[in-house]
Amino acid sequence: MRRYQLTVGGRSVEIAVEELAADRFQVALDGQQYEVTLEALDAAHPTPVPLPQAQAAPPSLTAPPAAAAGILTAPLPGTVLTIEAVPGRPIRRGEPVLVLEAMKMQNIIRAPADAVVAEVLVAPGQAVGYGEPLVRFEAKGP
Amino acid sequence: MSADFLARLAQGVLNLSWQSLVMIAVAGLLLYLAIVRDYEPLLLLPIGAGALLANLPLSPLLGEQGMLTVIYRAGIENELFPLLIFIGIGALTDFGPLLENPRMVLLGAAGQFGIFATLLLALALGFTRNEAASIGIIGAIDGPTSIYVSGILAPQLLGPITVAAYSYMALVPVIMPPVIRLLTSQRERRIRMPYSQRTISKRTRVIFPIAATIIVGILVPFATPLVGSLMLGNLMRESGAVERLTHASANELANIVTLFLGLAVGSTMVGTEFLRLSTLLILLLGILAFAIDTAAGLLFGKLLSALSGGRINPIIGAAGISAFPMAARVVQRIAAEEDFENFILFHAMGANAAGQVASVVAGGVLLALMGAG
Repeated sequence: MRRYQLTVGGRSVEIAVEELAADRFQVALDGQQYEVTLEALDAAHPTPVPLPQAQAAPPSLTAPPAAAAGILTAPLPGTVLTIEAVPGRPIRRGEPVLVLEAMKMQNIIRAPADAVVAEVLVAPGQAVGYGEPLVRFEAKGP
Repeated sequence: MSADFLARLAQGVLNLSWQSLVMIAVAGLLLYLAIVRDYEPLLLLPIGAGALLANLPLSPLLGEQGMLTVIYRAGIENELFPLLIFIGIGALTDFGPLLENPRMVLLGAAGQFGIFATLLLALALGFTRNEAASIGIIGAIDGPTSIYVSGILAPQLLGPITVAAYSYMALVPVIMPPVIRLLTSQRERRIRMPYSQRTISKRTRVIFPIAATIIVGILVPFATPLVGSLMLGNLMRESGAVERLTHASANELANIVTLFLGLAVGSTMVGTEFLRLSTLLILLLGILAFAIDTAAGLLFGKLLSALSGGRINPIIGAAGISAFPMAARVVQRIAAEEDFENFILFHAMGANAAGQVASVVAGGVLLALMGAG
């Protein structure tokens, strides 16, 4: 957990940021917990941002169920077993995206938010390290 | 046809006692649990078969040169089989999560508290010191250690203790969750512990089994056979120098010994010995020991959580027992039920691997306390 002073348009707030994954943070602001997804917009192919010390700003503050576009990264190292997500299909928060086998246990990786599956970046049988991108989501269409 | 002649032909039927009938039913239950319910089938099936064969009237398999007697003498009486099993377990165990998080050793140690609590309770219920110690070790949910310790201290209780240890190992997913839910709040169970990236060098992985053997061997000489076998298997695995031996230990050797071990343990479950009140008490005390071990690990996890300012999810403390890797998986499953984005598996595996080592050490400590020679 790191604390930052954030000054936006003259207004100063203090936030506490905890890194959940390479591109996901738990941010405490005024006693409220937010889950923040950080996506680099200028990169042609959005990849998780490497984490230099002061990379906390400026996250788009959104409460958990609202987040949409972004990259889902591996929460732990393992081997991709099966892929449930289908590119182009909408997916709801909590629905299985893929099964990642780690320490011989099958872990269901679920969608962090309502979104549309844009691209599956891994294949069954592929070994992934912690923080490696698994699936790219796009904001849910109308 | 003389009556004598008839009696000789019918001696099987004539020697059928009510105890053997009950034990055949018990064997049937074990076979059912193994085959239909998939409860530790690799052990409960041979144990059930051993119990069935031993309880058939006049079973020649139990005679002086009977197969079950020969197997029992070859590997249980002299403690060989549990040690061979430990070589296989060592060859299968990845201590990486523990090496990444060495403080998990504390959780593994706390998870052994139930052994000693149950020991005291068993003493109060009238078991002898040696019997009480053998019953307490069930709490570690460590089959081979239970067999090893009770084989030395109380061989007459080997059957019920082994059955309890392995049945409860199979019941880890049933017994642990309610204890965890009872002792932790939802907020605690939801504490996220992100995967902590640390690569452990091969040198560390190779040195660990050697260092653990030397340190434990000096501190707790009675644990040397157990920890030495466990770490021998692990050294073979991590060194990568003897892949054929590692593979053989983890597969062929472990499988063959498992079959012998199960049959021999089953053969000790002879009706006249097994059908006693003490067997029922052992089964009850064993499950209590397991629950207390889980609770002690959880409470210690809560302490660590408080000391760390809420960064440690206390439920990983429940994984500080030996049932590897089931205990860690159950902990991960509970965490994921509360919050599907929480993956504490590797932390739980660290505590679980620590519990594996700690239960072996606890077995040695018990033997030392009881003055086994």
